[in-house]
Amino acid sequence: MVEFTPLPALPLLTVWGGESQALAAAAGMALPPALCRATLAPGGAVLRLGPTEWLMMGDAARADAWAGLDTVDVSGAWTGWRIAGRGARALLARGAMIDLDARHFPPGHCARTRVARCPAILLPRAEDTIDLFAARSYAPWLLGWLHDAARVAGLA
Amino acid sequence: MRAATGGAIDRTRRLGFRFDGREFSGHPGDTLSSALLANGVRIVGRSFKYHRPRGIFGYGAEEPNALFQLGEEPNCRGGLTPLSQGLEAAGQNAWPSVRFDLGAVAGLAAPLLPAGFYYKTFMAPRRLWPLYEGLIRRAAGLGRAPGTPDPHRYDTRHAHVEVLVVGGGPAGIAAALAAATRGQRVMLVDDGARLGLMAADPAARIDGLAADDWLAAREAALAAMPDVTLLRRATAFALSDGPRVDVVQHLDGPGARQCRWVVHAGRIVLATGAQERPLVFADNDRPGVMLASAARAYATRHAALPGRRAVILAGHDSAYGTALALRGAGMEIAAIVDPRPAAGPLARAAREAGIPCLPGHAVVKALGARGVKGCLVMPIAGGATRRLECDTLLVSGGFTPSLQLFAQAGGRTRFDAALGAFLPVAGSAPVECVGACAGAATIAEALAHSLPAGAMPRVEEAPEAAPCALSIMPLPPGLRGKRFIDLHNDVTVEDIDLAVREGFGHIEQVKRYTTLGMGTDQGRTSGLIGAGQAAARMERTLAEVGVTRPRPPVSPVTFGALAGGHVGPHMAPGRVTPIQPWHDANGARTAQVGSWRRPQLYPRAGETDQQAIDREVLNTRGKVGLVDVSTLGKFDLRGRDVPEFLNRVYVNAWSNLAIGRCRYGVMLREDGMVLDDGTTSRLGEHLYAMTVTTGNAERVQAHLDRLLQLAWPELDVALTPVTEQWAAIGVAGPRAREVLAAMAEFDVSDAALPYMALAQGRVAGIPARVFRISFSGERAYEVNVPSQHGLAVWEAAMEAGAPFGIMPYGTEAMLTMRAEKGFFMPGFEADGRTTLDDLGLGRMMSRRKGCVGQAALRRPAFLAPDRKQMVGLLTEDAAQPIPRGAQIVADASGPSIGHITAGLHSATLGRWIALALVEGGRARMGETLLAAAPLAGQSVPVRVVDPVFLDPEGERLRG
Repeated sequence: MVEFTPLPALPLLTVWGGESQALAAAAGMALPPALCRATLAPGGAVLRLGPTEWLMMGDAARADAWAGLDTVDVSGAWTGWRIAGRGARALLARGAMIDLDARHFPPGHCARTRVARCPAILLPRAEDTIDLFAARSYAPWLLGWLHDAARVAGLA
Repeated sequence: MRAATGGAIDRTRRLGFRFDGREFSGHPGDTLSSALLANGVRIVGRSFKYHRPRGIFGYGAEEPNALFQLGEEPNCRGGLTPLSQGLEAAGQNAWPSVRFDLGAVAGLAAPLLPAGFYYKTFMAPRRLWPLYEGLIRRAAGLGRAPGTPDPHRYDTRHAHVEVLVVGGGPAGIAAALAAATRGQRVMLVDDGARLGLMAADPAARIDGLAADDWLAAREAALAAMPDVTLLRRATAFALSDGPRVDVVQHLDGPGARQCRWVVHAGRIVLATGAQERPLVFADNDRPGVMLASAARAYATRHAALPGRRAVILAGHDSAYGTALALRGAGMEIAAIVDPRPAAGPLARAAREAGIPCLPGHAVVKALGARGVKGCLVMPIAGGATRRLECDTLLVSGGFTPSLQLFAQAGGRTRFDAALGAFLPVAGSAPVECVGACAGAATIAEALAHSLPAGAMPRVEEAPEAAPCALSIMPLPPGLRGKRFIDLHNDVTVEDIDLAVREGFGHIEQVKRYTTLGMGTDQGRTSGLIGAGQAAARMERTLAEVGVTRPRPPVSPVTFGALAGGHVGPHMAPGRVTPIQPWHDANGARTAQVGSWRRPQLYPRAGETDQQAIDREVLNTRGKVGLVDVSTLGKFDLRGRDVPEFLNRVYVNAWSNLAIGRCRYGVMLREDGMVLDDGTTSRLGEHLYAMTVTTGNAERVQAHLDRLLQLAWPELDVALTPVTEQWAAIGVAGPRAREVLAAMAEFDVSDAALPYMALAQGRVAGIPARVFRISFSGERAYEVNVPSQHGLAVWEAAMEAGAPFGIMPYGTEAMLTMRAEKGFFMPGFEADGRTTLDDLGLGRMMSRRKGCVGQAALRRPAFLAPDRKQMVGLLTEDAAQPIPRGAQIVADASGPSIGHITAGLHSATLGRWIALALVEGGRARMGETLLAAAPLAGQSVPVRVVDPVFLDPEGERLRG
């Protein structure tokens, strides 16, 4: 059974920077070591989405922390839900092509991908919990799609 | 007939079902086919072309005859349809029923229906094609297409495994076990309701156990492993790059009817087995003629016997095993007829069991029109025929490796003369073949493909002699009867001969001409035999001629399974802007435009659509209108090299754009055609905002990302798509400035914010960017605010604009106003074949720099004076609409010289106007042409005019 909980609106910031050492100095915190990895902290998260592209969430999204780097506010671009329950990963696998097996996509990983053809960012929080950020304009439709898929799959 | 004992059926429970309106019953564990056999039903369908009565012939996906209409779904294979209580099945291609079919008169006309009949008959005259098409469509294909939406739901799942094994026979089970014990994720896919095998030797033993029991124990072990997924009743129907395999699984229970698995596998092991092929003789399609392996599967798995007394035509040793198994199940075996002079040890076992054997003989004709009553047998070397009495005629011509998925993976095959079939060439595709599909003839060989030598069990089984090299039995002089190679499509030996005689020299051509292998069975039993016959007629070897290339899907797949959850309102994403709740609450008519659901118009009570559009246009031109343009594609550009980047992607020059200014630009594709247009604005020293057309946002992003990442990685430019970040609200009209002034906390005077300038500050209390740009030709401001504030700012604008007569307008009014101004639109005028000059914008091209697509424009064809150019068109009578989709002709009988791209009513001008692309259009100003829509029976005289219908000097823009 899967439950959807809307995530509170969080500051989101895209940061462009190729050298993770320079970034680390600016951030004063540990940064994800590789592509598609994330550092999770109680007040936020740092996601490495591309070779030079980072997404800062929550506390990490203060633009002044990243002085000297190109930063773009994208707080309005994403709508998030926490998807939790024993079928959470199985439900997302209805629409997402990537490997969502908890052993291959544990907390500390992240992915920018498509779910049911909609741009999405997946951030696993626990074995049975994944945060899904959908591009805002797609979000209402995607939520309807996921609820329908859950009914068809017997996960509702 | 039901055997007294045996079979994996639950005899304590009965399941009632109907076939062609008659009541029958079976047991849990039956399939539709096994239950029909158990009830003694012989005729289950009528053949495709000749409407000959047909019986159950195969067991699984190879079934060419027992195809049923189940409710709305046609072509359901009886052997793959589990019996359920209340199942309603109907035979196909027959009216009123398969037992009494009026279409059977086609059989009388058979001599008039040779291969290629339709191609030859329905060629001329061309004007009758619509009639022919109807006739051919009715004659083509079996079954009845559904007339109503599929009521079922279908699931889709993506799976990732280290090893995917297709096929649950001995080699497949062994391969899955070998992989699973290494701790990998393994998926095993099999299309039977249970895994298992059909060994040649029914007495075969593995490690002292009956082979079936040994395998069942391993199947159970696999099922208990957490990282092993067993998909039963599942068909792997397509293999594509990735590698990825698509599987459709039939489900029971209340939820989805089927699940399509998209399996991404590190390693793919094909254990797809081999398909028994028949032997061909006169009237070999009579009900009661069946593949020997199928008869054995029905008897041993379902205790369903195809008849009381069988003659077996054995071209392969396994048929002797089948004879022993069937006799054990209670069938009488009248004789085993074997064209070969000698067979292997299983033949001796059959003889010792008292079964009459006729080596060196052939069945040359089946007797009995509505079902087998006997057969004619003769020595293969020639001689007199004699009659054998039987009600069942089983055929076994050897086994053809099932290599459809292997071929889809790009694998090559080689002909193996001893086996009489094509085998996979190892290493020619990134998949592995094991077991019978790789040529294993025995259980031991099959297991050895999958297991290391140390893990091999002890296998006791009879060895086999080579199969019969002859697939088509001779037809003695004086005997008549059709010899069918492809039962599904009624393709005979003579049809193949005719195709070769008529000059079709390639097996793919022979297939298309005769329809060999084009049925739902995809030629599983007929492909190799047909190719062999064609090769013989071409006087070439089968190795040279080859077989046709199998294409996906390997087996029929219902559309619902392909669509999965993407049906009805869930078919494709419907994006909405943050302001959509207001549109919905205020009577907007929305339509899906590309990926977006957008307001088209806001009709009021009593208004026609045109009246609503006219009102929205006139209000915007006379007072002020509000439009939601949040759908526009938006990019944030940062870096020292942004001006250089813009110079390279736009046709015009960007080096001198000042901070706080906007500029219009056009982008080209690499082939020189216009890709998109829009404005880019400079917000700071190294900060720019780019706007692109709604429908092109993703295409332009891919274009720009590719250029930045691959062509010009040295440029210091960070491109961030921010379409989703910004809500965009257009305020347009003579009173737009007053509305903005009521909301903005900064100076919006013409001095501070002139045309093509921008300002940043708070609007309705929200930090905003305001661009003074226009797509309507009016004084207009585009207010961008973060999406989460879009709805509030829109509502504030409606309130602030109320004293000035503000009204919202939709995409219809927007498109009307852009046409009045002669602004081109990608998808309409810029349709992928239009250059900058075609749109009348040739002077925009900067000659001082290069840009993507510029070089291509030097090709002579792009400079030709008769290229289609954008022009305006006016009807003589202002009230005369211009037909949609009309072609432009110079005179009524002349060829098309152009087409309408937009034809609409201009309330501003009080008349109908159109934009069009017309050959050499700019040189035709003032000419009168015809806008012709022959299908609508309309032809309207139109005058060629400048495409800018309104305010060519742009005075309204500047205010």
